[in-house]
Amino acid sequence: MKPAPAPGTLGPAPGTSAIPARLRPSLRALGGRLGGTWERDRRDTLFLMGVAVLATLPHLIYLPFWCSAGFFVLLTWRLGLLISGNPLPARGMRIVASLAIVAAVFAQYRTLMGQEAGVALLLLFLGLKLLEIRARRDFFVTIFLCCFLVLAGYLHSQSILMGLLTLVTVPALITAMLTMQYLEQEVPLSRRLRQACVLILQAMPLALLLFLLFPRPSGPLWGSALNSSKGTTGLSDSMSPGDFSSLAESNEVVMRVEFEGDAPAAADLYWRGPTFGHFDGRSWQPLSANQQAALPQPEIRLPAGAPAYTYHITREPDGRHWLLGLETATTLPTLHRQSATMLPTLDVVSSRPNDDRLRYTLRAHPTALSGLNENERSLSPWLQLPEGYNPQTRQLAAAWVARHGQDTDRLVQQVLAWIRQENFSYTLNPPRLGRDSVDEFLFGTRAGFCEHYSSAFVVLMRAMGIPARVVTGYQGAEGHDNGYWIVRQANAHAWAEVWHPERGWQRVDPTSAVAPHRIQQGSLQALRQPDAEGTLARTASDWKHFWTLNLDGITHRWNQWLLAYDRSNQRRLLEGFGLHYDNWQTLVGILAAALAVVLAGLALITLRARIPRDPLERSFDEFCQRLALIGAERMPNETANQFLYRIERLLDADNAALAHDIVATYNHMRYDLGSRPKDLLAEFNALVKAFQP
Amino acid sequence: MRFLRRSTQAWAGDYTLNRGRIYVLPTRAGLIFGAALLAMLLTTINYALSLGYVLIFLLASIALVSLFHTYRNLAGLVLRPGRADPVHAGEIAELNLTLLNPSALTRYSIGIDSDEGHATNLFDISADAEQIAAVAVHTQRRGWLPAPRFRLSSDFPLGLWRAWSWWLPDTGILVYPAPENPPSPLPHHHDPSGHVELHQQGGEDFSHIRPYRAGDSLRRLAWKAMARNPRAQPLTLEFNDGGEGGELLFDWQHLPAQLDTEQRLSRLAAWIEQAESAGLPYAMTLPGRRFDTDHGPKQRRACLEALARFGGGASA
Repeated sequence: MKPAPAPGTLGPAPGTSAIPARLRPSLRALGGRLGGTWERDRRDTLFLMGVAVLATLPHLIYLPFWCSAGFFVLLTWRLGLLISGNPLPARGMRIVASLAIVAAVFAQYRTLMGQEAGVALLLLFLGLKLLEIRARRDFFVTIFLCCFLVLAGYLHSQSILMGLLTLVTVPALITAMLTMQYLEQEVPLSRRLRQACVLILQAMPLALLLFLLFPRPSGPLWGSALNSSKGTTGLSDSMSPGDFSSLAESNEVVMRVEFEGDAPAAADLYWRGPTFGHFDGRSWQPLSANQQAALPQPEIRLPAGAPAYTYHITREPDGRHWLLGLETATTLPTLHRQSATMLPTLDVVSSRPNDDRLRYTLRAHPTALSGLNENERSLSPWLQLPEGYNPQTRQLAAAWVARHGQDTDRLVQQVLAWIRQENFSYTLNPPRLGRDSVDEFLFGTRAGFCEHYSSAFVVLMRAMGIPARVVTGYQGAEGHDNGYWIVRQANAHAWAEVWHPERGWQRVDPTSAVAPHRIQQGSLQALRQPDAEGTLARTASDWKHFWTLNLDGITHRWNQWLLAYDRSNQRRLLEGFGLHYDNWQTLVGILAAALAVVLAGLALITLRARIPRDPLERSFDEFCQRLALIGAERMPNETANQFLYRIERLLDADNAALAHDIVATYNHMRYDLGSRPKDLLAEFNALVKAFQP
Repeated sequence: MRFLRRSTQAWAGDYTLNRGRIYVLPTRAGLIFGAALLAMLLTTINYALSLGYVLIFLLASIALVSLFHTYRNLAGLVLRPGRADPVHAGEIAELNLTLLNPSALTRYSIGIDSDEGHATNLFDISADAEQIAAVAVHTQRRGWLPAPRFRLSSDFPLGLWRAWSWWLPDTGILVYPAPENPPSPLPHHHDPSGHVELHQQGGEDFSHIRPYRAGDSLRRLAWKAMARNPRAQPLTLEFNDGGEGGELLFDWQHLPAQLDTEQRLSRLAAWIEQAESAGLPYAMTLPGRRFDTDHGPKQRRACLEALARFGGGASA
């Protein structure tokens, strides 16, 4: 490291031994207190500190408090030195500080590797680096550190807000880089910013091309990309009463759906998730692996003229395997990095947990028939009931079977009619249930929500000897002006399926018997308050709702076009241009060709654009060229007046008068005015044009 | 790598920096920036950060675009060689070079240095303006010193690329011999060798008769010769070893024999400078050349130039 030219300042680049002349006065003035005007070095350093703060902003929220505090201590220290003009801390001090940082980070994370520890180290070392900015090299290092921190910020969040912050940070970074390149004179900040923006705008087409065409790899290069803590909300592996009330609180988006063509009615939007078959009296579980293996492969029959819907889903990551789709899915989505399969229970699952935002396309036939290939053995798991539980329910079931016989349709109608007629209510805050939960619900509390109704319904059905199962997932969606639907956690729902000997598995939603509007509106929240109050509340929050929806629209586009952009989007985009490719080498070729075109365009713009000269000089050159034709060449060191004096005797009277006017106007504009008024320029051009020696 | 230090023919007249004359390579900072971007790209791929792709590709594109700007900062500049005032060997000559910017684009932070590794001078050149760069050139030996090869360079705007161009202008510096140090006293004050004497009465070593020149002493007029032909112009007697009393003759022949050529030239140069600063007129003889008594810038220049170019003007 070169010795500092002066404390707390930016010195010249290593390699230029002399301090630029213009810097000298500012160095001399250093040591002046804050009252005086600040010299360039200090202003530049202050600007760099501002950029550093911008780059670290996202981390200050996410990192442990002491980390952010430590960064601010270093920053304040530097600011103090900048103001006072005192020398930067000595080398020994900096070494002690860096050791302290490493020790503190290790104490916090028990490692120096890994995401969070790495970011903490980067942040604190940036703070420390600010304390030793002396040469241009340090300036560069600081900026590179800032770039890394901006990138690391995306590990926390890739929201629109982060995007906007980047949009501010990048110009600031580029301006900081520019600032240290104006070696001779200081250029106003606005001009530097403009220059940075010109660079960025010119870089945009290139960046866009690279973003769209750079071959995207298929998986992480090392380790697992996501911390396993993610995906705590959403559907779970089992269902117990009370589970969904927490989801009902959540407005979190599960997925967004776009239909090609018409969408089904909101009441028909059942997004299928996990299916549960095993009931232990308290909670529902999926069938065991052995039981599942014994199930027949799904067989789907399409009746003639069955309506079909094709739709695209953008799924938020939830760390689960289920790929939610409308019933009944008749195609499997194509995903890169993982494969999708359909379980015998018709659930569509992916081979890997859903750690990234997924975008996939599905096709559904709501009227398709399934389960016609079931046999007695494969149906037996769907009749299971725990022994010794819910005797009252079993009695009721036996009574109905006695009355109606084993007619599935009539028994289902009987149960639904009974629920409608009896005093059942829908609430998200049901009373607690005891050991015989179904008995207590059906004959005691009679208050609950979809979990209670679907659970009780399936128990009743099984007690009557009808194969039945609980299906969970989401029901309904919120329509959006931009032509897509939003499914939120609040849409979480549970319903039932019963097996019919002729029609196979049929969906029955017992909740619709007690709260039909729940199904039509498709949200648990809609029912949280009594209707009258709800209407009032709705009008009051209409505007808020409107804005929320619009913001969501933007978020959706952001997620869909930017964050979810991957291999398949890339392929689709290029196929839109008629370009098909089989391997990444071809893609690189396409990218290279496109880059070459854009670079050539950029070269034309940047290298040609500024050639036009001062119009005055151009015109005057023309005047001189005409004279050169008659053998009167202007010498390089001749002023316009000297030139005129020398050559005027070669001209006739008219041209001599013109030449006098031309030279006078030229001198006037160039030296007196220093500007080029349009009217004067036009007059000047006319004179030059008239001049014909 | 031929293009890094291309030996060019000396270029007479204006030298325009155009395509083929400008080279661009990344600076060290540029290479580090590239490595940093690569590391960032690996992180981005691993964590599948879409915004990371945006950031990295944007930064990389900016770096790439700045290449054009760096190139443009030099392209189209016109270099015009200037003259340098002669100096003595060992002194630093200032060669004036003119940098013309015949475009509407201000050129920032143009560096100019020579391949002898002197400090870089930095200039900004406004649009349609010119800038005179006084470049210091170290001189070592007398004679005609051709201008060194100059390098114009620029890191602007981001410091990630360096554009440069070599220029060997067809100009040079006349380097006088270094004055002897410490200087010997002028020959009429002290004469340790006895070869050069102060002549109180001229006439002993008569050489020839030449036409009278203003300033010649009346005592040295060739009266006898003039008497033979009264209508002829006045004539002056010329003596071998100097002029009239008080005038100086710096004579190559009478310098101590143990001095070699360069030492002799140095002593003569020192005498000329002493005489000039004292305002004394002097004459000088070199083998085959003679400079008549005179003083002033013209005489000094003529004499020192002869010394500089003595013996074919050993080149530096």
